[in-house]
Parts: sequence; C-alpha cells; structure tokens
Amino acid sequence: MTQLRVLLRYAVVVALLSACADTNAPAPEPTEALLAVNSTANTLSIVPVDNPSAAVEVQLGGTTPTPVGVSAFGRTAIVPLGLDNAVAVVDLVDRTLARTIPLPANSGATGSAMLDDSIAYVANPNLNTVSRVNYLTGETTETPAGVYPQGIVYARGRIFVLDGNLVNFAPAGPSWLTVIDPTTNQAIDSIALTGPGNAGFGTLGPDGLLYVMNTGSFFEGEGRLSIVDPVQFTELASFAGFGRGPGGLAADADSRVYVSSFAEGLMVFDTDANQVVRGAGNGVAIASNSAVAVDSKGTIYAIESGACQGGQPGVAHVLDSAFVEKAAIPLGECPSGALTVQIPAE
Amino acid sequence: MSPRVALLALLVWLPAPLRAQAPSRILGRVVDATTGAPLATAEVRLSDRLATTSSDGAFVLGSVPPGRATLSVRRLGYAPWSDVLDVVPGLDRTVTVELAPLPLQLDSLTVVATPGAVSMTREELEARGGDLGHALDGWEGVAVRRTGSGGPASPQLRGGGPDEVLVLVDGFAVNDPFTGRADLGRISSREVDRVTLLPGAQTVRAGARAVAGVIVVDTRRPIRPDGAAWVANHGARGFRVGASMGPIGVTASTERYADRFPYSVPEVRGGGEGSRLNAGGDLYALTARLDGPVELSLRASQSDRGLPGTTTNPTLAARAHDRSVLLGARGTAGLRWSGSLQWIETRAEDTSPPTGLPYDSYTHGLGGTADVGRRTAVGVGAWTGDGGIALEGRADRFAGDGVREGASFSHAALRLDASLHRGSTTVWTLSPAVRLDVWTGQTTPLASARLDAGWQRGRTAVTAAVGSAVTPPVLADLLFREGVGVRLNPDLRPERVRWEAEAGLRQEFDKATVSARLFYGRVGDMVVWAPDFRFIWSPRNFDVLRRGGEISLGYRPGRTIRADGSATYSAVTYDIDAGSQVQYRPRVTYAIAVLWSPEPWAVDLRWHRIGERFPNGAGTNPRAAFSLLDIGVERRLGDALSARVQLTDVTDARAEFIAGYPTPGRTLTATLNFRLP
Repeated sequence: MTQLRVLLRYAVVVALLSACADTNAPAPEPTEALLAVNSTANTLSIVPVDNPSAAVEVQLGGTTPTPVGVSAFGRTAIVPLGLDNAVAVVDLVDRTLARTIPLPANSGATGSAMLDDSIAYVANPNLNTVSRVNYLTGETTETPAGVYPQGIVYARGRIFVLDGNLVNFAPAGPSWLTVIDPTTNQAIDSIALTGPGNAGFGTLGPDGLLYVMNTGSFFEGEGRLSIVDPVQFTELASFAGFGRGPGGLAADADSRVYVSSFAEGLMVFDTDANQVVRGAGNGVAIASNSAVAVDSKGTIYAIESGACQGGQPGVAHVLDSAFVEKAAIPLGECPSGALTVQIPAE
Repeated sequence: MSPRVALLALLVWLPAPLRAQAPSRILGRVVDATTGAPLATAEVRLSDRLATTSSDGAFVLGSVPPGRATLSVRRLGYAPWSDVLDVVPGLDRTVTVELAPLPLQLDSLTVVATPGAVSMTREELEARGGDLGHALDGWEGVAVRRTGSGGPASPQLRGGGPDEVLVLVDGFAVNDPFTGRADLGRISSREVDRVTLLPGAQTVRAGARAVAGVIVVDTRRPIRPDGAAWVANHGARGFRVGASMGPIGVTASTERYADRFPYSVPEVRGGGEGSRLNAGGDLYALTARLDGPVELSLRASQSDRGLPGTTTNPTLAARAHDRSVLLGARGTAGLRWSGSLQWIETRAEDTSPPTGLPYDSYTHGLGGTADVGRRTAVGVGAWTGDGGIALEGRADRFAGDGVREGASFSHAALRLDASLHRGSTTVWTLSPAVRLDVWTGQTTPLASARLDAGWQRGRTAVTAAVGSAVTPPVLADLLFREGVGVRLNPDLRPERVRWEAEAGLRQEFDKATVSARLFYGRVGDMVVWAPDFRFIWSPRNFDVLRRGGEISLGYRPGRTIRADGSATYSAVTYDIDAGSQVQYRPRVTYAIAVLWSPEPWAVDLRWHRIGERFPNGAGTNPRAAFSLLDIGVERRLGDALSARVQLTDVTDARAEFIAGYPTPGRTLTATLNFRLP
C-alpha cells in the first residue's frame, strides 16, 4: 500500500511537471522575411531569408495602382496603392491579400508606417494629409500634414511625416517633417530640413536618430541626408555627396545607414563617424538600385529593379557586410520598396 | 419512224416548260478595263453560284437556271461590276467583263490583291449595324479597344497595339498622324461598301503603321440618298445623311455620345453603382468625294467630349476638343499618283484635375503625303500578272503645347512589287514585294520584304506568306513634350518585324466556309509605354514573340439565315525567359454572329468575348474576360424606310477593355433608316 502511495505521488509529480512543461514550451520561432513591393507588377514578394526558394508573390489587385512602398508589423504588411487611393493589407502568414482599405479620393497614397497590431499611418501626398488607418476594421481618420507628404517613420512614440514639398511633382523648396502624436492624432511640431526638398525616405538609425533622404530633383546631384533628433525635434546635421537620385534607406544594428540610388548604386553612411563612407562615384555597383533592406543578422539586400517591363524579374542582391554578393534572389517586376520583418509562426 | 427520228421529233416538239429545264452555262472572261490584261482570282457570282477566274481571266458558271439573273464580279483593286443577264434555256452565254481599276492606296502606295485577304460586304456590315467600331469588333480577330463612350474605337490585330493597324478609307490613311491610331467609331457601317482585312506584317506593301495588319474600307459609290436617325438611352443620339449628285458624293453626320451612364464603382471607392459623369460629347463629321479621272476625297470632323478620367480618379472638368481635315487626291494618268494633306488640332484642358495643376494644352499639326508609281503587265514563263514600282514621301510638322520644339518628321520609301498567277483549274499565285525606308533620324535605309503565295483549286485555297516589316515610332512617341510623369526616350528605335511566317487554309462547302490561319514571328523593338520604378512613363523598345492563329466558320443553311463564328489566339510575349503577355493584348477572342432575315424582318444576334488582359507587362493582376451580347431587330417599312431596335450589351457587362475606363452597359438604340430608290 505504501508503495502504491509512493507510485501515485510520483505519478502526480510527473503529471504536474509535464503540464508545466507544456505550459512553458518556447514559442515557435518567427520567420524573418524580406518584403519587396514590385511596383509595375503590383505584387508583394515575401521571401523567407533562410529559404528564398519558398518565396511567393501576392497580387495586390486594384484598378490603376502605383505601389512603391511597404511597411510591416507582425503578420501584417500594408502597401499604399498610389493612384488607386487605397491601401492593400497583406496577411504575411497566409500570404494573401487580406483586404483593401479605401482612402480619401485623390489621396495618391505612398508612404506608410505601422504602429502596432491594428494601427498604421499612410501619407496622402495629393491631399497634404495623413490617414490613421485601423487595418483590422478599415476605419480611417485624416490629419493635416505638410506639403506633399510621401513618407512616414515611426520613432520614439511619434509619427514623423516626410513632407516632400513637391508642387506639380517638382521640388518647390526644402522639405520638413510634421510630427504627430498618435495618441491624439494631432500634429505637435514640425522640423525644418536642409537641402533640396523631395524628402521621401527615412529610417531609424542604430543610434536612435532619424535619417531622412532629401532626394531633390532626380536629375540633379543634389540629394542630402538629414539627421534628426526624434526627441528634441531638431535637425542635427545634413550631408551631401549622394549624387543623382538617392532613395530608399535602411540601417543595420551597428553603425551603418545604407542609401540606394538608381544612378550611383548602394552607398553607405557611417553613423558613428558621421560621414559618407561610400558616396557618389564609389557606390557598390548595383544596377538600378531602387531599394535596400537589412536583416537581423546584418545581411544586406540591395534591390535591383530591372527593366520594369516584360515580366523581367527584379533581383535582391544578398551582400555581406563587406559587400560581397552571396546570392541573388529573383523578385517580381520592378521592386522599388523593401524591408525585412519577423513574421510570427501561425 | 426509227427510234432515233422519233426521239428527235420528241425533243423538237417538247412543250416549252419542259425544254426550259435544260441547263445553261455562262462562260466569260474578266479583263482590266484600261490595259485589257486578263484578271485572275476575280470572284464571279450569279445567285448562289460562285466561280473564280483562272490566270487567263476565264470563268465558267454551269447549271444556270434560265431567266434573268444578276451577274456580279469583284476583285481587290477594281471597282465591283454587275449586270443583269437573260439566261436562255439550254444555251451558253458568253460575256466579257471589263473591271475598272480602283487602286487601293495603302498609305501612299498601291496594293495588289494578296492571297490572305478576307472581306466583308455591305450586306453583312449593315446587318451588324452601327459604326465600324461595332461592326468589325470580333471579326477575323479584330479586337476594338474602347475607352468609354466617346473615346476612339481603335482596332487591334494579332496582339498588336492600336497604332499598329493601318486603316484606309477610299485609299487614304485615316490613322491620326500624331497618335497613329484610327477611330473606327467615326465611320458608319451604312456608308461602307466593303471592308477588306489583310492581317499580319504588311508594311512592305502598305507602309508605316501596318505592323499587325491593314483594314481597307471602300465606301459606297454612288450613294443613293440615304440616312439614319437614332436615339439611345444614356443620352446618345445621332443623325446621318448622304447622297450623290453625279460624280459628287457627300455624307454628313452628327452624334452625341452617351453621358451619365451607370457604372460599377470600384470597391476602393466604395463599391456599388454610380453614374459616370463628364463622359459625353458631340461629334460632327463631313465626307465628300468627287469621282473622275482625278478622284478627290475630303474627310473632316470636329468633336468636343469629356475626359472623365479613371474610375478611381474621376474628373468633372477635363475636356478634349479635336478637329481634323483630310484632303486627298489620286489619279491614274499614265502614272498612278496620289497625295493628301491632313490637318489636326487638339485642345485638352482641365481646370481642376485630380492631381497636379490645371492645364490647357493646344497642339496642331499639318501632314502631307505624296506618291507616284507605275504598274505594268509582266510575265515569267507561264506566270502572268503585273508589277509595280512606287516612290512615296511623307512630311509632318506639329506645334503647340503638347510637342517639343521643332517637332517635324519626314519619311520616304521605295517599293517594288509584283502579282503573278498561273494555271486555270488550279491557280497559283505569287506576290513578292520589297521596300526601302528612310526617315528623320534614320538615314540608313531599312529594307523589308514579303512574299505571299497562294494555291486555289475549286473551292479550296491555301495561302502562305513570309516577310518582315518596319515602321517608325508614332510621332506621339517621338515628339511629345516632356512633363509630369512622362519623359522622352532619345534612344527610341523603329519597330521591326524581323520575320513572320503564316499559313492559311480556306475551304468552301455548299453551305459553309471554313478558314484557318496560323502565324509565328519575332517583333524587334516593339514600342510600348512603360513606367520606371518611380512611375515615370516613357516609350520603350521591347523584343516580342508573337504567334497564334485564327479560325472562322461561316454557315449558310438557307437564303434567310446565316451564322458566322471565329476564334483567335494571339500570344504576344516579351522575348525573355518566361516572358509575359504584352499589356492589354487579349490572348483569346471569340465571336458568333447570327443573322435571320425573313422579309420584311431581320434579326441579328452577336456574341463577342474578349479574353483576360493584363494591365502591366508582368502578367499579374489580370483584368477579367468579358462577353458582350447584342441583339437587333429590323423591319422594312416599304421600299425606302426601315426601323431598327438594338439592345447592346444585353447582360450589362459594362466592359472595361482598359482598367478604369468602363463603356456604357446595356443600351437600347432605336434607329430609323431611309434609302431612296
């Protein structure tokens, strides 16, 4: 009988331990993926960085879409559809177009940023507003911004709207940032930027500062990189040396901000040294480099847009930190915006 | 009385009605009225009997019933001929038919009959109703691209673009000299006597723009006083009148386009049904022709229409005002010559565009063509026929807000061609042609050539062709003024069909006709507008592979009913690995037309399906295929009047050939036609 009681005690203990073990099992590993919006194909490429052969292209639909950028949070990505005046919501786990949310007529939606698992902001350059979008319910609310807002960065609990200051699609003067408090959805400040205007690309640097590219005219070598303090709401510095048409930015976890350029290839700014280490004339030779992304391991994905016609695929050139190409991943036609995201398991 | 004598007596004294059952024959010969040269491959028809002339121009129609019958003869390049014959019972009748040359001027050159040509006559055109945009849509692979109610109805063939089909009316190109596109919507079906289609790369004979084919339109002559008035829902209505006075023929028309028609609002704009605004407008058109040793032709039009924008970015204030005048002359005094002048002007304005600044753009231009050539009879062994040499020139100059400074262009070409035939019961045809082109910016002559061959025996015809083609980019691609979102391409190259081969078979039965054609070729440097990664658009060159086929079936079970069907397949893909279909080129089309005409009624039913199209060159996000069903009922009201009711797009498909530009859906049109005897 005593032995039976001992056995029962052991059984209870083992059962409890097993239960505890089940309860505390580690969550499945998320999948890190490269997202690239293929502009003229109107698709979103989802490329698992550890298994590029499992890449898929999600068709974004619409009537006359002109998508050029993407943002992501968790299992969701949103792609503003430009002339379609809408935003496409993509489920990154199911790899499907989940829904399309209308934006105000004539919005011309371009840039976007996602705050959390329900809220995103989308820039409406034709309306000089941004839309706060609940991408779960489809509700939208408009907030005034500056002239021709075309990019958004979310940092330090604030929405930074990149006001390109384009009039009839040409730079009309320097750009600025409109700062919006997402808790009140009100503009609380603006930050003047040095340079030629046409600010459209930004990223949060490894040093916690905001890096914004003022592209200027695509046909002049006047692009300047602004460094902005997202807490003090001031421009700290402005750097030239990026040649013609600098565009998409991405930062690694160390000290680099990468700058893509259709004309110059991939360029590099050192955030520690505060200098352009690979600028115009010295960019990494990436043909028609339209975007750049960096994954959690520091691997660089320099996007080559290709001919943008005929179904000719774009390419993600996979580079190590020494810019040695390790692989080339085919994308859709004309990729022009890219980032990496951790997609939670189902 | 011996049995033979008895039989002879019986035959001589047979009652007349019984003797009248004896078969008769009509034997004849068809010749060129000016040269006397025999004409092969002419179509000779008497009631339901059909014959084709042999290489010596001869034909025989057997088993002809006695009585009065109309003998008609036609051949490409000549005016149709017809006459009423008294067929005497049991006796052969011999006729000689002289066909008056009616050179078909292709662009500025003369074209001879080619074995692969197909035609549609006035009866079928009238049954199809409306304008040529509607009448030809779906016929033999023609896909008409429309962008709304008043926009141009431009034909596409074999996966080519709307600026790759040359349309000739009475010998003169009606393609817009700036955009290169023709608008079939401005040609009434009732003013046309015959439409001939020459599919494939035809620039060698036809000149610029004929990369995918040529549509040759012959208007009626003389014009009996006739006209039509019609009214439709969505606000459309129109009136047309025409008449001849001696050698002068005139037609005039006016039309109001549909406005405020219902359309399906895109989901991103809220979905449901809306009213398409700013889609209407007015068109006024005048044509005049003077027949004679020197033939004069005038076509003038003026339109004012709304530009409603896409369904996602509609605009209420954009308008387009267009005027065009085409004046042509041609003659055959010794040399065959022709010339034309064409004036166009266009104003586009929007005081409150959805994006960008208000604009008001005015552009005008003047173009002229001249050509001179000579044709002569040629013979090589058993082959006989004719050959020709021609020089052509063209010059255009544009000015205004829509073009860059110094927007002028000139083009010259030299062409040699021949058309040879041999055989009588079995007719062989051979039509070689070569061409040299030079133009502004292209001073090294570009050569192209084409060879058409045909074989015909009885009711079976086989055709084959191989050739190349070259055409300069349209002036709208070369000369436009750079602006927001558009950039010139200084490296834009001419479009070339490097080679293309095709083969066809046509078989006639007692009550049916079947024809099939296959084609395969490589197009180098096809010009397609495409965006870069910033969505700045430019005309660009792409190598393209095009192949496919067309099959047609005609069925005539009786005098009052006829049915026609066709199916086409045109794969036009970028010439790269896994290249996708070129944008807005439907890969498949189907068409069925049924006409039932128990006098005094006529009922026609047309079904047309356009396969999916891709809005981009990546082969993604396809636009759904659509089908259109039209039903028309017409009744004669005496000798001069007829009334017609037509229900277009019965299923209310509201087709969008181009994304964002819906056409009016279900439309009821009532038409009153008159034609004086």
